[in-house]
Amino acid sequence: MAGVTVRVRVRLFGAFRRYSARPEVVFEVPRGTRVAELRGHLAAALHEECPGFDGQELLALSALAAGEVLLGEGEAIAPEAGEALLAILPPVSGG
Amino acid sequence: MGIVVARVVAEPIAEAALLSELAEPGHGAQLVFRGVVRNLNLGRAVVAVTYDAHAPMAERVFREIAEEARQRWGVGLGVGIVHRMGRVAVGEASVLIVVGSAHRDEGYQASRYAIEQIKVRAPIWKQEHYVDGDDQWVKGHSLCRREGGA
Repeated sequence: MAGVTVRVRVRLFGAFRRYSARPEVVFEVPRGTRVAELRGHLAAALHEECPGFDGQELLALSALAAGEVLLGEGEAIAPEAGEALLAILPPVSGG
Repeated sequence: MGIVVARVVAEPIAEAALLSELAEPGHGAQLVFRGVVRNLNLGRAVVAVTYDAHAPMAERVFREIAEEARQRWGVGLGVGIVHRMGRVAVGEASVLIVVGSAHRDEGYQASRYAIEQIKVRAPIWKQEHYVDGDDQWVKGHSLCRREGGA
């Protein structure tokens, strides 16, 4: 049954881990939500998880990925089996 | 024909094993780059670094970087990239790059290419732990692809 919302699971990495004791946040967004719009929903979910959330600037600099693929800002969230599994990737600093 | 090895590991990097894995009779050089945790960053004394990683994606990026190097400097190159995750003490290796090549010049170039690309493309994050007990996630390079970009 196609609903009007999509459940989104966003895995947290790097500096985002400080905002939750869990490795991911889960929330619902309207079907057809694009990556650029998802950022607002993610910020709200992080605020809910951590009332002192202060990572707006970090969020703006971070990329979203589905599986192992980076998403563009204009791409719509594509659920599989009713859920979208995403990751929020802050600026990287490996090596 | 050299091989590609791309791994994210939670234990100390097995350098000798990687060198053996990449050994080829046609290679006259094995370039080893070992990135090591330093005891000082931006004036603060560091005791350890914790690395976080999106491991499957990081390994995919390592393979892409290795293949790019082989396209540029020869498919005969063997390229091994291994990055550690978890807490790494000062003096321990966080990343190891081994390039096997027929001649040294392409090995040096490919090795340099690999580390520079890893730093700006691999989904890996560094949390520094300081002598005073404080810690901080290091500011890095954004992976954002804005519209109109590549």
